Amino acid sequence: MGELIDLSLVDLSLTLALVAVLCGISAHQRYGLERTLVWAALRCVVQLLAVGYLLKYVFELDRWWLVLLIVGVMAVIAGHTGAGRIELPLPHKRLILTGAVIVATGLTLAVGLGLVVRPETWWEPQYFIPLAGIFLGNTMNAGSLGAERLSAAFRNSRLEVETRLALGQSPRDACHRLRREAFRAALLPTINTMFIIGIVQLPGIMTGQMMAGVDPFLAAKYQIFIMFSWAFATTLSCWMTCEAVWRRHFTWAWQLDEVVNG
Amino acid sequence: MPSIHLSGVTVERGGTQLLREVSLALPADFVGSLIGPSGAGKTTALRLMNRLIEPTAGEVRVDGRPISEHPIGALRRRVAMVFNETHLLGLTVEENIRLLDPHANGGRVEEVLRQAGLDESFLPRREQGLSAGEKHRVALARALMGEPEMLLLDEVTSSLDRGTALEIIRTLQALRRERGLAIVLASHALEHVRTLGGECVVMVNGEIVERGESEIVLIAPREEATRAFLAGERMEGRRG
Repeated sequence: MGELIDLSLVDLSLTLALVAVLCGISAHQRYGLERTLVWAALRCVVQLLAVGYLLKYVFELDRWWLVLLIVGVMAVIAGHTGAGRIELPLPHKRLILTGAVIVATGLTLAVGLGLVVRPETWWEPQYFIPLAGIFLGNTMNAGSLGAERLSAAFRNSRLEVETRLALGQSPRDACHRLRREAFRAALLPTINTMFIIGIVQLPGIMTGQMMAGVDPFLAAKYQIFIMFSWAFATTLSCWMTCEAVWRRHFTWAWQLDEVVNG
Repeated sequence: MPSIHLSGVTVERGGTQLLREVSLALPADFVGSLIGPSGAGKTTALRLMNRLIEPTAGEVRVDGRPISEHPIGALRRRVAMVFNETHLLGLTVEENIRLLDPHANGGRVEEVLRQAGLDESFLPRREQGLSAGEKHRVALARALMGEPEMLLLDEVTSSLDRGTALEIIRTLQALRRERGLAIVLASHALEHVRTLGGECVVMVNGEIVERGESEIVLIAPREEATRAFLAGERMEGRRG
């Protein structure tokens, strides 16, 4: 199997033609997305090239504190971005999301790198940073989706929750259906991906490894490791977020919090 | 049975006073109604007694002790609240009735169902197959499973047709006789209040304006605000 073919900046600029075609379609159909597409493409180029250069430097330096710093910054950004996606008012949503993302990713990395991959050093950037990136992105999505669904369910099911509370059920029991449905909705994308992976789509990690010349069977084994870790991380993040969110909707006296529930 | 005392209770939400320094003592064997126009504060008073809300000022006492000293779940089972808008939670009648006690034996389930005026043929049915009156009876049976000592009923008869509403009130009276339940019915429907009997507390604009035997208050009110409310309701009744 051959080495990965290098792409020059000239090569890359040719792919811009694809974005230009998109802009052309948008203009022709009057969708009004041209400016957004150009801006998104520009950001994509700048962000990826910048992170590519930065990671090259980090890989060469090979310092644990630098790896943790990079991942820490990524985690905070993930938490803030995830919280920003929750449109409903929810106190401490940044703190909740950031906490869930860090704990879920940290635990998954500890298990994955400490017990499964076992690199020479636990912070080996070649493994630590890409895996952290995958888990952070997915834990952010699952956490924010779970929180958004659960908050919306509280708004739509006030009577149900109060009916249960008024009869003497605890807040945990009174919102059990809401929690279950939010949790299921947030995790369904992960479960669906596990069902179709390798049949409908070849996942990015496996594809990347094969293009880099890795034996497809080894790439598949890594993909399995990543899928299970990913499922664990997203479930943990979603569960922690939902646990924090339902508690925010009640007062300590088993009442619906009127500020949070509107 | 629990006695409930509201002492100088004010409830304010979003700059609006829903209750204004209300003082009200309901003895443990109370049977009667809170009456008044919409927005009078009847529902707010019931929600305070079930501790679904906290007062902004003043104090609520149950059995002579501050309501905050009672374990919340146990208090709400003893002083159960049934809402105007019935929510059967997407469950069957049997699942609703077993909500507070999933392991209750079949005899117990059938007993509360009968006390609420339904029979066991209703057990597998869902909300879609029930009339409004039957849904209220299921909500009543569900509350009875918690062995309440006082029932707070928020306008439970108001949206029903006359015959069904009166049947429900007769069921409440039977519950009073059979189980010795205290009953507090919030309502603006004068006929329902008269049929239930007992005492009547008149509320207007978040204040209690009059209290007395239902028969007397409805026929010969002392206060002008009560007379205005009753006249309005009778006019509405004639139009209806």
